[in-house]
Amino acid sequence: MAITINGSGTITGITAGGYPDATVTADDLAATLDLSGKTVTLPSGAAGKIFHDSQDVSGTGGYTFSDIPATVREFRVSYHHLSISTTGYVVVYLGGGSLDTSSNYVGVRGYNGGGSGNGASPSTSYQGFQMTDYTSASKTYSGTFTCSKIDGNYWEINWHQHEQNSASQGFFTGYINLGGTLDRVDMSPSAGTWDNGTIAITYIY
Amino acid sequence: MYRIEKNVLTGETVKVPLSAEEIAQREVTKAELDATQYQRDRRPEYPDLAVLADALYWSNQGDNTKLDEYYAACAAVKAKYPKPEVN
Repeated sequence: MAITINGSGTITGITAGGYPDATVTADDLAATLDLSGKTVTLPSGAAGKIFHDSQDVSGTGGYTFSDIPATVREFRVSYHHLSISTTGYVVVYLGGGSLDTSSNYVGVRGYNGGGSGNGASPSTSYQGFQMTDYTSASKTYSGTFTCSKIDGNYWEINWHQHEQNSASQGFFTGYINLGGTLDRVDMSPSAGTWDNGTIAITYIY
Repeated sequence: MYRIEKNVLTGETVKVPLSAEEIAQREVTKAELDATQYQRDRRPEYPDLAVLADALYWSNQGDNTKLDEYYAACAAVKAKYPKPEVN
């Protein structure tokens, strides 16, 4: 039975152990629940907060977001106007405790472009997830990838990228089985340094 | 050369030098990419494959004009981005 309290004043007649029951159902709540200025605490282990951070990566040989909480099941990294100081491509590393720079990354990469520029590489192992089809130092890239935890320490990546002022776009799907619980993600150029660009990470924990 | 590592919990950043292995790997990768850069430069400038299909059709009909134009366009791209000589 729904509880309705109208007006103002003192409520009497409700005794401990009596009405209402311990469980409040959706029907007991008002149609609109205003939680402005209130804090909602969820049970331990339940996701709730959203983390977001963005960084200018100019001048670095790579950028790592570390100490990602173990409760994170999915995170998204977006980047804007990344460019590399020399001939190189964009590489994504994951890691637990340290970056995994081994050849344990598995996936398929491909690209679409102008003219006859379309293709894909077969599923194979890589040192890091690699977006290798655009490599010129003069090019600038933007894109987003999402990493999702499958089970254990398996992480799947879904990645799209486009080249600034070009008809070219690249994509990568793949996975890695990390040696430990993921706590970091990194974007590095395959050679040289980042000479421009911003990287942002977003996750729910 | 270094990478920046940012702790998302504390906001602290530290510079982490790249390992000798990482630096060596980057040099190898760069050399491999430099050697094949002409392929990626050529790719977007080659005529569309639909142009080739049309040229092959007309060639089959006895008119090689379009096919000759297609080959000439390919040759121009190759000349624009020559393959590096291997020592």
